[in-house]
Amino acid sequence: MLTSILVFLAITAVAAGVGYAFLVRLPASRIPPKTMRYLEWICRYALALIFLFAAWEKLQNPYAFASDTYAYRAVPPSWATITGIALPAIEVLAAGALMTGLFWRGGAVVLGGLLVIFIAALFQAILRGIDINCGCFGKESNPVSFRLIAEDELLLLCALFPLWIDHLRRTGRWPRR
Amino acid sequence: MNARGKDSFLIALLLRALPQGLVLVAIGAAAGFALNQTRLDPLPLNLPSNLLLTESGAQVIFLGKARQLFEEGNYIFVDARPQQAFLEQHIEGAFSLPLEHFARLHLELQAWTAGQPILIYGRAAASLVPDDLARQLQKAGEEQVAMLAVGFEAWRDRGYPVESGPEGLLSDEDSWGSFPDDLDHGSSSAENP
Repeated sequence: MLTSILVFLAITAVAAGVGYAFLVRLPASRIPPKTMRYLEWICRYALALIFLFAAWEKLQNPYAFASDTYAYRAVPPSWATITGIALPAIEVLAAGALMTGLFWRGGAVVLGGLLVIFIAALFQAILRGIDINCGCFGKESNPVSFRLIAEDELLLLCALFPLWIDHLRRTGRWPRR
Repeated sequence: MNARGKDSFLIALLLRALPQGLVLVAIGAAAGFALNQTRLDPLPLNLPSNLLLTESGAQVIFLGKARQLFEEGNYIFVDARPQQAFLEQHIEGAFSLPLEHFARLHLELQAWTAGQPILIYGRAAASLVPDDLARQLQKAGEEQVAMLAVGFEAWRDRGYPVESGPEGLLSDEDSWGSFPDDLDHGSSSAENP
């Protein structure tokens, strides 16, 4: 268990370091605003497309997703069922918002929040030695592992990055164009 | 990062992004529940834990899909309830294979199925017997074993085809002794909705 906690902390520290370098030090960097705009759009579309793909797989078989959720042994059966019914549609809506620009900040917050929940669920499963498939992409899912946590933390940065750039623009610390 | 005042990232998230996010979650959840109601088999909210996480890993099939499979005739339906209950009423064309008689009867069932996929049903959704039987059949070499999520009672209550009598009892001589006299042997009460 101690090794698992240390590995998780190491992965999270790397993600936080990368996040700090990209997000917090951004106003002082000399990266051209145009490059940042491209990066912002890449983050938004990559995140949205990944979640759309994941949601599509889950929408095909809500029972399988509810079963995968319950396999984490972290929620009661009724919660797992509600998740199986509601979550794929929420993912589609949030991903659509990120891509279209309508309520995109809300889309980024929802997907970021979901990623935090996924990371917590994966971590508790590893700590408790629960050997299951993650259920992230329906039939295409991989077994629970630290690699998945690292991927989710990277995606979390993708969700935070456009929000942070937007915040910098609004507070006049980053050029609007 | 300035953590105070109007320049705070967290306050900007709370004021600008979070309300949008809550709207998306509410609309998304409503859409998810509405979509669920349009499915052939809406996922029930009261699904018991034994069906969400089966020991056997057998595919779980709901009522509408089971009816489709029944019509197509590719699946062999296997009744996991006690033989007395089977004799009183069972799904039309089903075989009886109670768990307690598995050792004696499964070879004969396998002779009937000849590699066809099997759909096991018990009394009700919360019954653990179909899952145990699925595990036994998998151990015996059956590759395609599925379970009916809701059990016989829901099938019968929906008005789907059922019949009474010994048709489908496997040739276990002991079990014939328990056949009740007052049953109309082999009578069919198939009803279509």
